[in-house]
Amino acid sequence: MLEQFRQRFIEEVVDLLNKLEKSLLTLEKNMSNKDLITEVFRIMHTIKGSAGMYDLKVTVEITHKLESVYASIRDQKANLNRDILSISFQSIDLLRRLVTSQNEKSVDNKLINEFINNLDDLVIELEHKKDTENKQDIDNQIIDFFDDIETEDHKNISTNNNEDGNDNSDNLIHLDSKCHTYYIQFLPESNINTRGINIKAILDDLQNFEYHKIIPHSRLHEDSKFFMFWEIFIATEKNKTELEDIFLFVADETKIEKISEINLLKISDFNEEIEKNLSENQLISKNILKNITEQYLKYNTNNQTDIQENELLNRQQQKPEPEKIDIVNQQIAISEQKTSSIKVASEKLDELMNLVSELVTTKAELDLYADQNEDETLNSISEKIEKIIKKLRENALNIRLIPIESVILRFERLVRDLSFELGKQVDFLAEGTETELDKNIIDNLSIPLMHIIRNAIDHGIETEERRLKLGKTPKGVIRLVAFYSGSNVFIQVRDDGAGINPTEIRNKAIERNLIAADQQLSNKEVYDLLFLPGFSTAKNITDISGRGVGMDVVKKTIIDLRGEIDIDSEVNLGTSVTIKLPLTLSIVDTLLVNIANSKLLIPLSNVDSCGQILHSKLVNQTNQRIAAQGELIPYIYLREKFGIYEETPEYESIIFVKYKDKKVALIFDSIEGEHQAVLKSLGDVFVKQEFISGGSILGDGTVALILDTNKLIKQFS
Amino acid sequence: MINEKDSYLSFKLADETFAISVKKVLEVLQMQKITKVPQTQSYVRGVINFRGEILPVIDTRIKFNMPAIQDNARTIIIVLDLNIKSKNVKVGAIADAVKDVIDIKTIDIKDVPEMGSRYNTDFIYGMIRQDEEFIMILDIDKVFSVEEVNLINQNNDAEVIIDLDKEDDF
Repeated sequence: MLEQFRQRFIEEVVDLLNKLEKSLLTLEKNMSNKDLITEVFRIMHTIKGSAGMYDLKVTVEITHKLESVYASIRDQKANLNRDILSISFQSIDLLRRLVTSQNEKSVDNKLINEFINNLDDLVIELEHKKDTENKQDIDNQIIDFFDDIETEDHKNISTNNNEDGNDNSDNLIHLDSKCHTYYIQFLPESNINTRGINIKAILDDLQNFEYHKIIPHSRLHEDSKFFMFWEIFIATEKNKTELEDIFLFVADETKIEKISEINLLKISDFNEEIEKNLSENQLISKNILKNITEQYLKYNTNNQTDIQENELLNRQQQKPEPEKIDIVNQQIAISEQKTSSIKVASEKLDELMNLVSELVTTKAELDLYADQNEDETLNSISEKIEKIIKKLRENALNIRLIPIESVILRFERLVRDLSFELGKQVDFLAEGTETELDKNIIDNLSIPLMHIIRNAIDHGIETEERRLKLGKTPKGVIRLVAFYSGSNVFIQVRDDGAGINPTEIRNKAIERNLIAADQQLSNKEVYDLLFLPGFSTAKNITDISGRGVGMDVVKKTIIDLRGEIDIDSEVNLGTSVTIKLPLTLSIVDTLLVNIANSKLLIPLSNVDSCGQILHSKLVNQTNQRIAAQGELIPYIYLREKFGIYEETPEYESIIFVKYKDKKVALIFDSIEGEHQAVLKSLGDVFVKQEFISGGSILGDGTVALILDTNKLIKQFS
Repeated sequence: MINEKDSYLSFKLADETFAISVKKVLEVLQMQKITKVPQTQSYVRGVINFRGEILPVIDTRIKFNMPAIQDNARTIIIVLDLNIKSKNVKVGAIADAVKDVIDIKTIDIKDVPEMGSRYNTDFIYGMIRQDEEFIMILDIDKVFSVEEVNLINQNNDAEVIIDLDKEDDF
């Protein structure tokens, strides 16, 4: 398969699978929703089609089987249940693996076979139900082509006979009014097989209609004609074009005619009449057919008023139901609208961002040159360029922003699977899913969030009995809330579970020699202990969480994203984990400051205020605190931190930076001005860096380091 | 095969001449202002801007446990494209002076004798003799993949004066 097409195919199928998953999740909440079932069926069908084009046999087999399961549900031959949904979810996982792997064969064969067997069991079970309902036993699983049609045919007739008894029931007539009856003549040419047309497939398609009657005829030898031809009666709600689609490749050899507005196949008399008039190798005569149909037209009009009345009645009874469906439909429609945007390879976006970054750097160079030459014209041009760059930058950043929604789906699924597994009842609610974040951040976010949600289900939410005992609702709730605040995005995961007992953590930490037994810690500090490597308070190590690798990894990931994470908890009320993230990773607004000959960048978002201070005032301070803004504020003397001991100026600059509720003063030589810093990593050589978050290239081509004020404050306060 | 040639860049470090394959060299830069980075190993001088990226610069003398000297007009930074633990890493290495690009026939490269060698053979790919002088060909990926490099056996005890040591104190 050509690589580029393959890539597109994978993306497409993965999209479809996501859609399918979403529909199934909604379907689970509202199992009788017919539209959703049809949607599921439709998606399966599309996947099957695409996979078939790429000769992915296993994928086709699985989707085909699932498709038939949903077809029988759709046609009300079987009822949807949790088992079917579970197997559908499993199949989504398997299909994802199959499709994304280089080769279907690379996926564990045993697993696939087992799965297909399960699926087969399900199909057979459904078939069996269907058959017993029809009081018809077809034990032959492998039926030869022609027999197949014959048996199907009989089955249908007998179905009709069964329902014959209820012929006059309101329900039946009501159903009838929606179906139209079509008469089809299918007269293939003799070369049909050589044209690559599969007659069996066409007939199979026809058998998917609930009401069908397929009459095969054989004909005497004739050179130009195939040795068989068919007469087909179909009753369906669909219109003629949909039927024509089935015969698309044999359109010239087919004739489709609507013979009645009602479902004639439901009326046993009609069936009998047709049977009577069948002949061995001839089409039914036009006149006879006309007579028969007209006979039943009367039948229809007689009942017309009844039908209308019944429909009205039915509508009234069902009123709340259709509304529900509408909401779901709307949701689907909305989500479809959202995805109708251009797909761009993420490398292209990265490239765009790189170019914008380079432009920002070059612009700084231009600025410097314009300043040095005191050229008015150049200065004004430079200013204009700056404005454009600012817009361009915002735009480029915006393109990279994607809503958090894209990762939420996975969590819904996770909550569903885990709560089943653990026998807990959990509702997952997501708010603010339209909140947008840089693609890189979103990509890195799903694993930590997954961990947090897992913890919430495993350790947080209690079992149903325990919840009831505590006077809580039987169902636990996990809420994911995302919102903007300043230049940050907050993501909060809250559960209404057991909460974390600080004493328990304390004891555990003492036990593991993480803290001294007499150490005084605030609750917040205690919760921070949870982020230490190897810390797990779970009494039993379960498969899901509690392996002690969770929270420290989570914290590391968040910190790598220049974010912060906090835990807050109340015993028996629940736990909330809050993640604070920057909107974007690549460009930061900073203040450029001087220390001796070195330049440093301080992120503007952390700066509270700035000013000047006499150096002599600092010399006499013994407790490293200065009085400012009506309080004593600890300060950090940056020259010292950077190991610069050259002569200090008389006046030094001071910047107050905030971190959470702490305020710290940073003291250095002077402030140069604002600088849009394109954040660059210092690379692997500097992994041990503790208060430098990266570097940025200045206008003169030198590198300035970006101070991570938050870490600095944490480290020295 | 026998006449197969490769190009090598030779450079001075203390009173020795070393060579590295030009395939590993991206560029040779003049000494420039290096931005110091606090809290780093003593042999890391800091970072510079190399083609829009941030490049760490390593003081090769200190890394090799040789006595440090003041930078002068001849001091250069060799930008290397290394392969460390199957990852591509770019590093600037400070050398006393660049000498030449020489073609060396593979057949002319001799093994360094293990015994009685002045050099720690772990880091030397081989040596050649040119104009009455021995040139050591460095296994550069290996040199930069380990923390401590004692390139010269005898000099292990030599006291190394490191200006940057002060930074490690805080």
